[in-house]
Amino acid sequence: MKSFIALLRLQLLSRYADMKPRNLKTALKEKKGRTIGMIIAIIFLIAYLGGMLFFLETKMIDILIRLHMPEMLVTLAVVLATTGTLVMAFFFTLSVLYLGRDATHLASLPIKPRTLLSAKLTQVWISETCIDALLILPACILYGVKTGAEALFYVRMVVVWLLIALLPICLIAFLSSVLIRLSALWKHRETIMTVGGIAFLIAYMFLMSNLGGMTGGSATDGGAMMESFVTGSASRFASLTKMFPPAEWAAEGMLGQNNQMFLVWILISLAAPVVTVWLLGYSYRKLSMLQSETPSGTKKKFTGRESFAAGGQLKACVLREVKTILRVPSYATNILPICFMPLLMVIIFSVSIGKAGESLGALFQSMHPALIMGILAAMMAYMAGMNPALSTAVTREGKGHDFLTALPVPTMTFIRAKFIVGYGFGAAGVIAASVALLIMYPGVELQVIMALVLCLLFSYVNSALALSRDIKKPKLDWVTEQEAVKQNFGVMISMFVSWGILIALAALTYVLIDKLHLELLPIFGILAGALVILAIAAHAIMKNNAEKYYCKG
Amino acid sequence: MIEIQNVTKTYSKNKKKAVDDLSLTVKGGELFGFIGPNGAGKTTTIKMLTGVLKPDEGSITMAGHRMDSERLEAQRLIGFVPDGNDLYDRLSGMEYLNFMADIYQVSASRRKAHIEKYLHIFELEDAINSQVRTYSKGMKQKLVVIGALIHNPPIWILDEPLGGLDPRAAHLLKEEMIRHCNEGNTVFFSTHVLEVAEKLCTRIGVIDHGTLRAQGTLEELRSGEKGASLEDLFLQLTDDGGDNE
Repeated sequence: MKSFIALLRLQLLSRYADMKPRNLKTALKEKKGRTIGMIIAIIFLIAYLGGMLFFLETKMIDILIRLHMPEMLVTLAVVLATTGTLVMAFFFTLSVLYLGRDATHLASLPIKPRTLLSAKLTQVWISETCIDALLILPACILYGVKTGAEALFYVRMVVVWLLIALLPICLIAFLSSVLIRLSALWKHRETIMTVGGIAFLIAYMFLMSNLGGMTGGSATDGGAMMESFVTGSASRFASLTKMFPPAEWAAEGMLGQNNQMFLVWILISLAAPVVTVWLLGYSYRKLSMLQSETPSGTKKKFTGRESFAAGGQLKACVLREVKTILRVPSYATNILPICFMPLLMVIIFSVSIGKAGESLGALFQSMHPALIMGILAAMMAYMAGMNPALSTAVTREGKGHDFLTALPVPTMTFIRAKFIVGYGFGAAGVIAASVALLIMYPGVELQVIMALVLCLLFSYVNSALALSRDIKKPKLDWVTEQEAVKQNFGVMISMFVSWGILIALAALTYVLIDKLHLELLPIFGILAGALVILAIAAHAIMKNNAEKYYCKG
Repeated sequence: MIEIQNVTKTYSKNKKKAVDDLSLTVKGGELFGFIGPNGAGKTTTIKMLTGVLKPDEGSITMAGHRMDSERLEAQRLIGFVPDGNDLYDRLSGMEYLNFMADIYQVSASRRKAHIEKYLHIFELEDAINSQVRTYSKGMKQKLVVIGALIHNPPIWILDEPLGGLDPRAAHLLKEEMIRHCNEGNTVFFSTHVLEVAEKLCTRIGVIDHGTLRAQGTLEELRSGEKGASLEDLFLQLTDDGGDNE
């Protein structure tokens, strides 16, 4: 037990070290502005997401009460918590259990594999339970207050909240063990991780789009749209909970509808970790070492027929950037899906709405042409704003940064290479999405092309600013590649900046359409002009930061 | 070839001078060993020599090119082997060498000849098309050395170059270093292995607490004390320092 506590403490301390009061105090002393900015951003993010969720739930419960199905809010919360854990905790659990750099070190310590596995699974459970608190508690409390639920309901709610993550985590633990075992057998183990990760995300998006799919174009205001969504989705929620019966047992149990199955669910949830630790404990030590071993790739000998073709410095830097992104699973799974998200969204959207696609075409016909252009551009630009390729471009160099700056390469060549690659990936995704839109929705060709131009210009601004920020404040002291792209404050800042610009542009579009009553072409001209000016300014900032900060001295 | 004049570098975080008023000249044909305890300022000096860090005061010149005003020209003259070799694990060895050759603008025929020669010398032919992360520590070090020398630079700056190399590869690299100097070029390298410095170097510099404590040939350092080994001299010169990291 002592080892378990010590291990759990170590895991939690290393993961949440920044939040320790003492470390926070030191950070406030050394980097006051940055730390305060970070705290404000985190509070803003929690308030923004929490506020949005609360707003949606309050609207929803009123509608559900009107429809005599308030318990659907509880079911929805349970389904979201379950699928959220299954999907979002997958990569986290996989990296905690099998991809930690400390695997060799921990394996050398006199600790039982089962103790180690228990501590790691407990760490995942604590993280997921904190996230589930946001999903389960507000929705259920709202339900309880609005329907005048008894005290027993709140007791059951706490039980569900604490246990809801256990079964999905255990399932993921088994699944990731199989994946690690299989990938270790295959020499291209990183390809399996990359392809598997991207496929998993696409599947998740399909699932979510089915959950939130539109049910028709008749809805005219927010309330009606939500009502239409609720009635149309009720059967889908029911079938989803049936797909994973424990979620149904938990939801029904919390509502007091099936006490017997609720008890069964509690017992299964409590037994699952015990069984998981007992079964996986046998092979955990061996499996946890598999990824830290040198891969068993076949030796590829020098043949003399290799390409020795000479290229320029820019080409060399571009190739290095591209190869690194494509070959590191953490980079590929974080960058590529987001770059091609606009295309995926168009495809998924078209597939999931089915026949409603016709009414979407009709909706397009009834809208102001500039509004269609604006909406399409905004949708694609919103995704482009989340692209971490440039907001982590310097950070990804890590310990190699000093070596790169020792090379006789002009600073702007490095920066240009990063920009070309990051912007290029994003632009490819946006262009592909536009082509898909042109094929699927004929009749709005001009608006789609204009939206593409605006989005490419917006991406230029956004990319230059994201790269500028990373040039100035790169996080080079990372240990794992996942840390470089995931636990990076710069990604969040760049995202907020891009959304801020997007909101300003949306306001400008509103004024141009609604107040000044301009036509499509002048609106496009004004927006494109504004974006060109912003792009020139952003490029100047990027160049200035590159000269000033890249070779830090 | 290498001229360091009154160079000072302070890290803003701890206000401590990592290198304090360092002046040093390494001529063509010299194999200069740079030794000192941990945290003495060796790596900071090497980072300034290679243009990674800019000195707060003083100047660095490489074969007539000032590192502050002619950084790229100066860097083109250097072959740099950094300490620690976890660079570009996901590239294959061949891709890494082509990257370095492109950066230094080495023609196709020259790079082919160079790569073939050094792959053979360092016995790296069997793994050159595999990803770098599959290499052992020594293989990675060999690859970094081949990449650093791909443009046949007149000045070699090597930070702990023998770490991780097997005895045969270490011997070969030492021979290459001597051959390079015999051709009138310069090698500046840091090491913790005093025996290597003693046997290999034409001149030695001892740095401690950021200050150059002594420099010269082994004989000059001994200053008449017959039989004193470099280890004895090192311990004397760095008596108050020790490990201060």
